[in-house]
Order: sequence, then C-alpha cells, then structure tokens
Amino acid sequence: MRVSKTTAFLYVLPAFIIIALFVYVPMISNVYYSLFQMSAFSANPEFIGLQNYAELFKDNVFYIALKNNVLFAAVSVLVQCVFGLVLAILLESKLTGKMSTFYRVIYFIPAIMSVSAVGMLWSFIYEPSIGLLNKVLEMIGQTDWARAWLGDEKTAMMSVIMMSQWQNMGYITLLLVVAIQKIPEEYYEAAEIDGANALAKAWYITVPMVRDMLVVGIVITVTGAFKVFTEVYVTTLGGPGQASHVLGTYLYLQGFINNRAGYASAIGVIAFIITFALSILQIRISNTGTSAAE
Amino acid sequence: MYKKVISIMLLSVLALSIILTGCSGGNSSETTGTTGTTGTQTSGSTGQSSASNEKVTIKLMHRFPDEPFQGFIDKVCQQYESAHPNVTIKQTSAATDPYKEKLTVMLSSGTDAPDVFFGFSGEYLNQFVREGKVLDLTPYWEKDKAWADSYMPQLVQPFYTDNKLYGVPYRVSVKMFFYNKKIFQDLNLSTPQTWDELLAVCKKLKDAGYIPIGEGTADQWPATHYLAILNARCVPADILKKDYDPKTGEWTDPGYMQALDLFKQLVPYMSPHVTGQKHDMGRQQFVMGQAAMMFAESVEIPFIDQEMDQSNPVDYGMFAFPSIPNAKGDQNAILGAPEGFSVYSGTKNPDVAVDFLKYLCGQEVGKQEVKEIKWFNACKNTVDPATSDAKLVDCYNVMVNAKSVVNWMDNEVHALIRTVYYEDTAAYMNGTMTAQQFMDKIRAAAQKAKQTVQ
Repeated sequence: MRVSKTTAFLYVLPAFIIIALFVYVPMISNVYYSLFQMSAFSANPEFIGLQNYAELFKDNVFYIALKNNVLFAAVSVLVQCVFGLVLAILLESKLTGKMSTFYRVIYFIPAIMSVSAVGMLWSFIYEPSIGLLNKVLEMIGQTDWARAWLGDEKTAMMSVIMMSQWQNMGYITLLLVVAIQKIPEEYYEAAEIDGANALAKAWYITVPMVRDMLVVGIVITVTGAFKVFTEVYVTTLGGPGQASHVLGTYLYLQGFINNRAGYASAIGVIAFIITFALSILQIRISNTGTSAAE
Repeated sequence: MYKKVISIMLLSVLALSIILTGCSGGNSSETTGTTGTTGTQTSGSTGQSSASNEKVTIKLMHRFPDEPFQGFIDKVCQQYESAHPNVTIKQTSAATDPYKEKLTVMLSSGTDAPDVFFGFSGEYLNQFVREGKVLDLTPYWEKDKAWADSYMPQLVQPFYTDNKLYGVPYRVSVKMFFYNKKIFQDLNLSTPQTWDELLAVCKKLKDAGYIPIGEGTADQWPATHYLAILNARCVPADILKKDYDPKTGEWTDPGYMQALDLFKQLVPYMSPHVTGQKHDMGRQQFVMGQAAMMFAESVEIPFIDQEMDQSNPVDYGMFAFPSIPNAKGDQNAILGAPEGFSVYSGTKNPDVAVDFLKYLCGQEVGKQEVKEIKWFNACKNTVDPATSDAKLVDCYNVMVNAKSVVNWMDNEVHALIRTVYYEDTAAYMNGTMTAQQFMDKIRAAAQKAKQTVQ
C-alpha cells in the first residue's frame, strides 16, 4: 500500500504539534527566562543577561548537586545495569527453572510503584528510632552502625540512591531479560560443544548479544539520574544542609521557594545541556543501530 | 475500504481527544512531590461568573485538607451557601509546604487565581502584597466597625503592611512547652521559668532515663521555631524588626550568635537522632510517655487527643518558653502567629468575597471552631470557660494576655534567609557548621534579598 507524503505528514502532525507545544516551546522559553531576574508571579522581569549563569558557576551548591547527580548515575549504572545484567542472566538460566516468571514479577513490582509512595516507605525504613533498618542492625548485633540515615550529611544521599536502586533495578533487569530471550539457542549449543562453562557462555555470548539493550539501559539510567527529583524531595528535601541536593531539587528550591525563577531556569538549561550531551555521547560511543540483529 | 474507515475513525478519535484535553481547563495541577495533597479541584470554570450579579462562584483555597479540619471548612461553606443561595463556593486545598508552592503558581496564573486564599501573616503574605496580588481590606475594615471590633487587635496586627490591612485571622497558634504532669510530679520538678531552670530540668529528666524534649527536625521547620523565639529573646526588638525587613536587614547583632549558642545547648536533650526524624515522631514520643516535654503548637492539641492511647492517657500542662536572664530582647514575647485568609486583588466579586471572608473568620464561626476542632480564631469571646476544655482555656488566656507575638521564621523573613534557616540549621545541629559560618551565610542571603526587593 503506497502512502503519499501528504498523508504521512498528516498522521505525524498531531503528535508533532503536541511535542512542539509541550516540550520544545517550554524548552526555548526556559532559555529565554534564564536571562532575567524574576519570580514566578512578578509583574516586571528584569533583564540581566548572563548574570544568572555567572552566579551559577560560582555557586557551590550547584557543584554539590552536580556531584550528587554524577554519584547517582555511577551507582545506578553499576547496580541497575551491571548487577541487573547478572540478575537477568541468572533469571534466564537453568538455576531458576520454573520459578523464573515468579522471580521476574517480584523484582519488577517496585518499578511500578509510585515514587512518592516508595519515598514514604523508605522514610519509615530509615527512621532512626522505629525504622526497619536500625532495628535489623540491632538484631544482628551491629548497633553502632545504626544512625539517622536521612539526617546525617554523610549518609543522606547514598540512602536515597539505594532506595532508587531498589525501585528501578527490576525494570532494567526485565529489559535485559527480554534481550536475552532473543538470543538464538544455537550459539549456546555451539559453545557447549566447544567446552564452554556457564561463565564463559555468559561472557562471550550473552553480554555481546545484549549490547544494544544494555546501551539503552545505560542511557535510561544515566539520564534518569540527572533528572531525579521526587526521590529526594519526599525523603530529605535536599538536606541536611545541602548534602543531598540534586539539580532537580535545587532548581525547585530556587524557583518555587526562593522565588528566583530566572536562576532556576538557568539551572534547568544547564541540566538539559548535560543530559543531552551525555545521551548523544553514549549513543555515539556504542555505535548502536548497526548490529546485525537490526 | 474497511481500512480507510478504521483509519478515519482513529484519526478523529485522536483529534477529538487532543481538542478535549486542551479545553478541559489548565487546572490539572499535578502538584509535584506532595505527600499530603488531597482536596477537591476547582474545575477552572470559566464563564460562570457574575454577568448579571445573580449567581456568584467564589474560589476558596486553603491548607487544611486533613480531617476534621477539611470537614469543618466544608460545613462553614455550606452554612454560608444556605444563607446566601446565589453564592457557590469551590474549594482547593493542599498540605502546608505544597500549599505554599501551589499558591505561588495559582496567583501568578491570573484567571485561575482563587478569590479567597489562605496566607500566613508576615513576609509570606508580604511577598504577594508587594506584587499587588492582595486586595486592600482597609476600606472594608473602616466601614464595618462591628466587624473590626470583634477581633483582638494584637492578633490582627501582623496582617498590616504599610498601615494597610491585607488579611484577617482564621486560626491562631501559639507555641509552648507541653509537659507530662506525672513525670514532673514523680521527679519533683517544677515548671522552669528561666533558661537555666529549663536546662536543669532537662538534665534531671535525662538522668532519669526519659527523653527530655520529644522533637524531630527532619521536616526542617521545627528547628526554626526554636531559633525564632530565641532571636526574639536575645535581639532587641527594634533591631529585630529592622533585620527582618528585607529592605533594611543587616543581621550583625551579637544576639543572633547568642541565640544559636543557646539552641546548641538544648539539642543534646532532644530525641536521639533528632535531625533524622520528623516532628510528628517527637510528639508520638511525648504522647507515649517516653518524652517528658515537647515544644508544640496549640493547634496540635486535637492531634494529641487523637494520638493519645486512651487506656494510658498523658495528663499534660503547658508553660511558656523560658526567659533568658541578661538577654537584650523581649522576654515576654510568645511564639505564635495568626494565620488567616486574604482576598485576591483581581477577584471579579470583591464585595461577595469580603463578605464570605467576614463570615469565615468571624465570631460565629470562631465559637464553632473552638468547640468542634479546638482551634481559636482571633475573635473575642469565642471560648466559654464554663464549657470548654481546661487546657484550651489556659491556652486562650495566654493568647489574650500576650502583649507581643513573635511570628514563625519562615513567614517572617525573606525567602532567601528562610532557606538558610531551613536547610542549614540541620548542619549546625549536626556540628558540620559553626555558628559563625551560619551567620555569614545569613548575612550573604540578606544582601541578596536587598537586591531583589529594590
């Protein structure tokens, strides 16, 4: 069935309009607002050019937030993609057998929970006097490890990051499980004939074959790590002090609490540039889309 | 042919859904990060306002979505609607912190702005007054003497800016130390009047195995309450007033450092891991008898009653924040503030909105408020000593006799300074920040605040 160019264009048009209106127009307006000093409700925004950016680069909370986002990304890739891959391989191996569907569901359920609900749940787990974590540490005799997880600058960010891993690992694992399922059996049989053990099969066959999906997983986790907001907002609000601020929460603080919408827009622009650059970089490096399976 | 029909149908469904979502009013505020947002949404009903002065819709926005407070407001609205059949009241609500952010957005949106909205007196309301978003109530106040006289003036005072009235109180909250009478009796303690007495009481309680002060500062605002009253005790009143005004704030008085040092002395007597738990947890510890005291607001009394284990109730009393000997501030100020409602300056029905405001914050509702939800508003004669709870009467008398009221920190100071108090007090309590560093940060924020209000 031949589709004329006009028809094709008309089909694409509605989605294009929506994306243009709700994604691209705000993005460009954001860059515009970042050149002003204004509050969300101010009658007269004051043009100040690049001053917001100058201030941003000298702002050490910005660097704390950036560091936290990078830490978030690093841990996320390690736990969700690397351990997720190991978990996916295990789920698809003979070890789990008939129970593999059951395990898949168990690991995936946190991913469909609302982030706010997960935040509340983990606030209770991390609660210093009645929370699960400290109680378990008491039970196994390690009471000196018990602390105010979300109230101590040294542990606040990591606690939030770990909460996020708990929630999202199942999702990446599932993506990888799907990718593994598409690997033809013949490769494994051929490897067995050549005397490969399970570890060799995993390393030489599974890992290279899921490379495309792995790159997708890494892009998702890294961009997700730079966009994180709710996880921090419902647990620590960026505190104590500024120890657990991320770009998202710092933007929110400046925009809606400090009423500096122009400054917040500048933060938004920088966050966008970073995520955009990282995504392009990752896709280029991995050179996806050129594998034979395409 | 069949395919064509299907594809045309799908296209029209797509087009229709786009048009409909676009039309259903921009009011689908997915309030970000709210754990407490409930509330009936205003449907952004355009075109329903008073073309002919017949049917009027008033949009009310408040921060009391929990029961029984939401139910009480529903009742008040219904009562008003029955008395004024041509008026319909549409409510929106959100919990405190999300409310502040939501109101900022709503007031800047223009058409969706509520007609009557809740506001904290002080800087919180002033930021909107400066942008011209709040209706000046002074003409109405001066015209209706009966209305004006029904209030306790010291509680309406915080709603004045530049000698104009911008809001009226709906509820008044005062913060006091609550103490467990039985524990105090057992240990032979009397309620402390001065700071040294307070520390001595705390030490005795700690030695006896109790948590002296049940508290949690993870929600950021509780610690700022201590600093607010300590600032009022340690810094001379006129300097405090000058510093709290963003146009003239300097924050160089040594009283601020003294306040921080005193606060640090109290922190070891608060619940263990105090920066990692929330204020509610501290109150739980008090209600369960683990903590002998707590520093809480009078409006928490209904919560205490709800949370109390009826088989093992705690008999509690209250005392005011102690005085600091030799400190240069106001030793008699009470920490507390009226919170109330204001009218949007761009409302289409100012007279109806103000009339509703008079009712909502008036004496009749005030009496019901004390009886049903145990909150005071600022009207005179709303508490009947004969029929009310003894603790409420005590509280009420404290309020009536208070010569000066000190407002909550986050409503009193400019947003930039508020952020330092909110975020960095935890770092100060944890010991990762010194008092000197804290005040340097405050002074830097004050400089920045000056620039934004010029």
